[in-house]
Amino acid sequence: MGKTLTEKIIKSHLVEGTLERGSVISITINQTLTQDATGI
Amino acid sequence: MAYLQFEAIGIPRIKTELSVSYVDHNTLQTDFKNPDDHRYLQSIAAKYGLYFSRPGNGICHQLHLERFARPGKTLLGSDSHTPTGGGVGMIAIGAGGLDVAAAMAGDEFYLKMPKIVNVFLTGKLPDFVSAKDVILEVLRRIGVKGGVNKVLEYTGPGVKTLTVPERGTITNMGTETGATTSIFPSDNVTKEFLISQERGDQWIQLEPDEDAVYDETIKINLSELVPLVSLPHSPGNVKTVKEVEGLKVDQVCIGSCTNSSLRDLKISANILKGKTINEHTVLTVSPGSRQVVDHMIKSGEMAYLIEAGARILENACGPCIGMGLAPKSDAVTLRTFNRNFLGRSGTESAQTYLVSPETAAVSAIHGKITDPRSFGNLPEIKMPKKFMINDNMIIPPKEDTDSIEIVRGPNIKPLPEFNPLQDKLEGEILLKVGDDITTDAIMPAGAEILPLRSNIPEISKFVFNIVDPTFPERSLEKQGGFIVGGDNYGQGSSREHAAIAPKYLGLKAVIVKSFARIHLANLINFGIVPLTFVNKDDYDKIEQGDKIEVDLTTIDSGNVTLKNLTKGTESNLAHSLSETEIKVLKAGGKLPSIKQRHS
Repeated sequence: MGKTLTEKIIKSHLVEGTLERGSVISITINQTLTQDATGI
Repeated sequence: MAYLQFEAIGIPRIKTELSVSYVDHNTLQTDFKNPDDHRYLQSIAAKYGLYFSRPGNGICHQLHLERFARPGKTLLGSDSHTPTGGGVGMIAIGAGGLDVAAAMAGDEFYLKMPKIVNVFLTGKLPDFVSAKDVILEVLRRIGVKGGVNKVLEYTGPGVKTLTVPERGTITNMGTETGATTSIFPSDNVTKEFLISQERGDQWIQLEPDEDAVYDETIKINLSELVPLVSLPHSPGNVKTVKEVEGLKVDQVCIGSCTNSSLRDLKISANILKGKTINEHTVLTVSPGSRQVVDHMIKSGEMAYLIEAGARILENACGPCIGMGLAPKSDAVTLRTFNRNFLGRSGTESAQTYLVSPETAAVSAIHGKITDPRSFGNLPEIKMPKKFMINDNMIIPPKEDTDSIEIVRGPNIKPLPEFNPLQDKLEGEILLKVGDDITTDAIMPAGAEILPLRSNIPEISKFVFNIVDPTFPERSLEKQGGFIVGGDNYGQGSSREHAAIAPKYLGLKAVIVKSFARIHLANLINFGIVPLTFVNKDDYDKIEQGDKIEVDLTTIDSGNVTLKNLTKGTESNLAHSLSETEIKVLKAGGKLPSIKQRHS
């Protein structure tokens, strides 16, 4: 079965879990950003 | 409070590929608080290996799209409009500051695997109908909670007719559906954009498989779209501009992370060229970045805005978060922004309408809401093949950081510490609210309150300020208690202050019909138990002032019991907490476990 774009990116970053909808997953994060009101 | 929390984790340098600290919200600087915070942030970035975008450089999402967003990467941002990055094919998600701090420390990010909605685009946008109208159409169809726990993935032949900034407008405001994120493929359009930003080497092709299976489908024919508008006070309250034409407009604001790109300013400027704004309408323009301003000045188009009577503001969020340019009493204010929640503009009686730059510019001329298609011929605008690149206001990460000291002004207070959870929670229903309570209602922003973000004791005095200004005092007097709410509780911003400040006041649990995603995560991160009514009718049987007990000894089963001591009744409550999240709650919040993991 083919994958959606979202599934492809999530799969390539998946640490825990599966692509089953509603299940808990964890993904690696490549980049972060903050703005000053929430970054402090 | 991402960096105060990152400091508390106690590691010497960030572990992501790239982290950027932007200054674009608290730029008014009415006293020492904002500039002290800017210096703190600059010293943190220098110490821990981040890029730092200096005040005045631009709005975080516009800048990130221009300079850093990359196809195929994941981005976690402490701002709910982080999904703007989906315009270049990233998975870009908004989260609370603590989750971002953990990600900077190298921890993975936990979420529920979302459903994936195929937003299938065909056709091409007609003249005077633009990207803003696309996302307003999505909001018209699915509303402010129709995207909760879903990703909006855009496909179809209409996709290639949209430029990256237009895609960014759509993914940016997709946040207002409650979506986890939105995303466009990375195609030749993306490649051209990255080349124009001297980042062509970062392009990769990324698209869904032809036989991809989606959970839901929404079909939009771009050719059939018309100019749309969100009416007060919800982004989901969408009508056609034609339906509200003729309403007198007191203020028009062009800008924000949704619509401050070069294209947006060029079309606004060329509509206004040679015209003057109506005598009873104020017009403000907040460009998204210095790059946008540079191009607008060099092409001569900035002069069209100025000569028409626009007030050119700083490259920052500005009026969008109530940071200046509050409208007059009872004003009708037309804004190219993404939120029109009650009171957000800084004037509680103002009525905020959300529109495209085209509708905004044409309406500013006439002084009333005007369908821009009545303007005449669409002015032609020319976009540069290569953008002028000048990153001198982004300080890159430093290598030699040992001697760098963190600068802390007097308004930057230590993080509050919270105790582990008790098995039984007791207290009063401090407040009962309805559906779609926003983070602006829980923890307002604006010029007076936003500067207090680094000072929890002070900012907590403004919790629920526009709903019930007696809440903070009452909460402290009763030594904390509970909140009861309706559906989509906590919609809007990722501001974790909407959890930390109520926690500081003693909030023990929130009992609602349903939660918005980011706010739910923030409640858990700070040890506030998020519970939902198993039977939604029980919401009607509970009142503000009722004394209740919530027995958490059965929390591992997925259900707990609420005893209403005032009414002599019981209700069954549920939660969607994972095993890990229950542990976090029991510990009093997430920071203790993150610190332990990195010690």
